[in-house]
Amino acid sequence: MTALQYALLAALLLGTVSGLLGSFVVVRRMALTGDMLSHAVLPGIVAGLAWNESRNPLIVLISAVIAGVLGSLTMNGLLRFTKLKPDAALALVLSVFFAIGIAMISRLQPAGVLAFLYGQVAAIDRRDLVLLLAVTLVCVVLIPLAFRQLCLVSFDAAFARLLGFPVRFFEIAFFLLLTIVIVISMQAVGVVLVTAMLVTPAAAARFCTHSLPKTAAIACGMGALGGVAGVWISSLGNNLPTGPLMALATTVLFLGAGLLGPRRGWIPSMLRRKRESRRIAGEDVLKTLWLHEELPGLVRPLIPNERLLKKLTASGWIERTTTGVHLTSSGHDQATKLVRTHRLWERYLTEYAAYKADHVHDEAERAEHWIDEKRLAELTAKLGDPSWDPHGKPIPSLRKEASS
Amino acid sequence: MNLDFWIDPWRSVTSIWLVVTAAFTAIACGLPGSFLVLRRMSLAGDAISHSVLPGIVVGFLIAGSLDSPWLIAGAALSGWLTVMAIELLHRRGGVREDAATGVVFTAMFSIGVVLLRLFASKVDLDPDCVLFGNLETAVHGSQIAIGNLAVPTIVLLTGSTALLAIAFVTLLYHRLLSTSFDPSLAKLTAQSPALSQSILLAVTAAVVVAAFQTVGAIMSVALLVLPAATCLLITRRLSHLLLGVIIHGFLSAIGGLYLATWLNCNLGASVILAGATLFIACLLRFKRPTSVIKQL
Repeated sequence: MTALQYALLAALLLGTVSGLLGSFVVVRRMALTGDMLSHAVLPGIVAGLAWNESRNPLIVLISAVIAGVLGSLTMNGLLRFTKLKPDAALALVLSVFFAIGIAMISRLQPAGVLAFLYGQVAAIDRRDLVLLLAVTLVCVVLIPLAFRQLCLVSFDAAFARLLGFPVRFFEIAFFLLLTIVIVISMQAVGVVLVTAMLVTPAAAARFCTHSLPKTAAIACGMGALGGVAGVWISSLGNNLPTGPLMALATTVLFLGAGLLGPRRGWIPSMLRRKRESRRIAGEDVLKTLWLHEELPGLVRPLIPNERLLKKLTASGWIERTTTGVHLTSSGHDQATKLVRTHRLWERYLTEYAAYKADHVHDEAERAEHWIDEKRLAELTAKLGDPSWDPHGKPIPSLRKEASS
Repeated sequence: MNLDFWIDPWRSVTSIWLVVTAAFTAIACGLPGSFLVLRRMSLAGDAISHSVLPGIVVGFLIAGSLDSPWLIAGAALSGWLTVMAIELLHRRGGVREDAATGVVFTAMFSIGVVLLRLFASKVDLDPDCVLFGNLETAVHGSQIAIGNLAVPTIVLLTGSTALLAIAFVTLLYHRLLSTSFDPSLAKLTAQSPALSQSILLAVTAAVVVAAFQTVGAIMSVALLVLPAATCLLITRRLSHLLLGVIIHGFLSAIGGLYLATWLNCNLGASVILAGATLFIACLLRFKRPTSVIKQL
């Protein structure tokens, strides 16, 4: 294999495995814990590199994991025995452990440590790749197998403990796996940008979907894509750093997901909001027309909005004649449903939620747009199909119901 | 250990400059850093320390030297942009704060490194600076003659940053006090918390630039957080805290020099290790009485 193929394969595996673990890191709000770990393992890495001349990756990994454990124990101790807030304790552990690492580097001058500081995909050799492959396989097999348990432990540890899960075991296993992945990806992207490979793909995936399995899958894909794209771009020019380009490629994917992600992306949510507000405005027009039919002259006149009226005409809910705007029969049904929901909800608020009759209108004005058929039926059943609202106005019944 | 060990480091002028620079850097970082700790914004300090890099590189490209105000302006701008981007992602995008911080500062840092590589021929900035600075080389850099004394430029740079930090906390003392501890009262008395937060972040970015050459981006986080964390073990008064931060800065600079001579290692790292030793000593010596009462 050529050096580029090595690098591409490493980036692919790395992106996949860090995306997978990163999705748990993000939902557990541990993004900066990951950052802390990536700095805290440095003394261990230096010690490992200094003690074995042959640079056996396994020994480096073990001593790095020991340093990571020490770092998080220190953090827990600080939180327990001082009044430092979590953010300060985290920053403290991160920077002081890093300083220990730097002091050790300047004294011991171990070979190959620069790859861990700055990241060099090219420095990843066959042994590292085998280790990376093994870790990726373990993650890709184990995590889907234990997915439900891991979800439960991540979201509600107390409940998981009640169910008799070995929560502590899961926490420790996850922590160890995370440290191992951090140490391995440090060689590729460097000490600072490990956080980017962990957090950015997962944060991007959160824009796209609500479900955790899908988040994990998308994060894997994004991490792999970003990593490979970064290696490819850096191979095009000379003297372009690989790690930062991998991080930047992933950040571009993040921005893309932030714009277009179906769940919370900027454009989809804007369109959704627009559509909803247009629906509500349309429903308000229908309701105003209905109320005008009920008691002519008492209702605020319509503020005509040409586009809205055209759209409602096209939907077949209103018709426009020379005398003005009128509801069609299907529009009338629609408006009846709205008014019925409004008045039933007012009734519900006064009877069950101890609202005063003069406080319920605004609440109902909002609720009428969000109560669907099923809820309306439930509401009717609960209230015993009343015929008057708290203000003494009749609650209209739906024509279909009346006829059936 | 004999007496020579304690006296030897002071025989050369260079080591005096080293200690002075380290102390200035520590004080410059510690003062705004204590407000970051008090406001629970230490991680914003972490993010800023990494994300000033593109600002520094661009400032360097404009000015062409390491000690110009353009660097500070560029760094302050990119630090401020980072915090704004984090806020935007958090408030508007619904991204959680820690994830937003992780995404933004790594992106800014990568941009900085890529710029540094692209303009490597024009930017005479040691890439090692990015992760760990080098006090010794910084002190051996250019010198300016003041009277008969040849003062290294870095001493003047860090000294003026320390003065800036001291001016910042003394001039804005009451404003910072009220906005840190009681934002609603501050708002009522027409002291905008948002404004003092922006000033605080800009000053943080400025002091981080000074720390960049001496201890590097990551260890400057230690200089921001450690002094305040140490002094908060001893006192609960803001004025005492700030005074303690200055003392901590001096002590860790002196201790750092001894540690570096003893261990023969990077001076920046040993300044921080000396500071951490002070923290541990205070932790062991001053058990807070309140926590004892709670345990009883």
